[in-house]
Amino acid sequence: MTKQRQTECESAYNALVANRITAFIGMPDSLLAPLFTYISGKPDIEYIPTTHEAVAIGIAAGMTLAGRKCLVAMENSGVRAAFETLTRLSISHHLFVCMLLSDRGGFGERNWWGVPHSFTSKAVLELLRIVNHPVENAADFNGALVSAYATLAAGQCSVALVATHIFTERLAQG
Amino acid sequence: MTTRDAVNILASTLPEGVSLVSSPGRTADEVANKFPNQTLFIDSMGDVVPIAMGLALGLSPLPVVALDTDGSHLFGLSVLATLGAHWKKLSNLTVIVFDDHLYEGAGALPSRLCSIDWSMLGRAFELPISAIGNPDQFQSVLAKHNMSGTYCIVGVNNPTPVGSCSRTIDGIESRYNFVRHIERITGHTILQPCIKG
Repeated sequence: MTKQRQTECESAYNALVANRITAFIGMPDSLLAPLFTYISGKPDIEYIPTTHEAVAIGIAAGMTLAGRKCLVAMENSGVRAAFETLTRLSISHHLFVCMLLSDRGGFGERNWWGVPHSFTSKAVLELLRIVNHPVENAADFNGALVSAYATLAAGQCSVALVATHIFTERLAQG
Repeated sequence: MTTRDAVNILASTLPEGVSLVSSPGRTADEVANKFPNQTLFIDSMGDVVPIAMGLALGLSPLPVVALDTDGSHLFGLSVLATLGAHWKKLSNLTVIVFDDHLYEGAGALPSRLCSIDWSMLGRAFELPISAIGNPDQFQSVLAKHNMSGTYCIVGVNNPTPVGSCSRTIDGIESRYNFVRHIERITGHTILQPCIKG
């Protein structure tokens, strides 16, 4: 079981390295926690934890502007917490970022408090014209990252990869 | 010391090619007079320092200056824990907060009704925040640190009310101007051309 968990996290990590992502910025959440833990101990990607999702978006916007490839990671509810920053930076300034969001509240959610996160965050992504795409496992993560950063490089919008329950369960359970 | 005085002191101290991120309002207008083509003008409370931190990490060792204001800084105090954790890596980042104790653009109401010990706040997050009260002190702090790890709160007092914004560029044009500045100082192409197909 432990070996499988390491394999899924390791595959996801390898996809980030293969895509030359040098910084993983975000606020840990329970669904992505195995990936946060794995990456925080690795030397090839700088791990920058924040205490608010808006801070992660700001740091990533600056880093992206400097030409450095980075990924913001957080629960999907983070787009609500960072809504003001995301709105001003993306709509008023065209400062865009790439994000990995867990799909708290999505199909298969067991916790009552999690259910609103999925449909409200989807509405926020649509409202801010953030291109989003589901990722079901680490094997698909590499290709999704290639496409996500291609869209980001077009310079017209931010991008969100949404880690489905299937992916986050694989990260947690192997 | 007025905001204009403080920006003039900065202009006489900063090395050529430095990258700046500015808060809106009076600060942006004064900064635009001195650094029009190397400043990212941000109209977003609380986001100046995180953006400048990301730039500093991305451009290291090239110098980056965050020019925040007290209202914006207080809005975004969440950045302090992240900044404190990475401060030793951020020797190319200077954080300057112009503090007039007011939400000047919002009717000049006070930005807080209590006193703030900024240095103590800094110590709580392992950040060397110093409070500056006069032009000589400001000049000497800038000279002493030589653009390396400076974090200061500069007290300003502007006797005349802030006027209408004098800049005619918006956030998107500012972003394009700033990206061209980054491309000039790094020699790298940030905005990639379209591809065929």
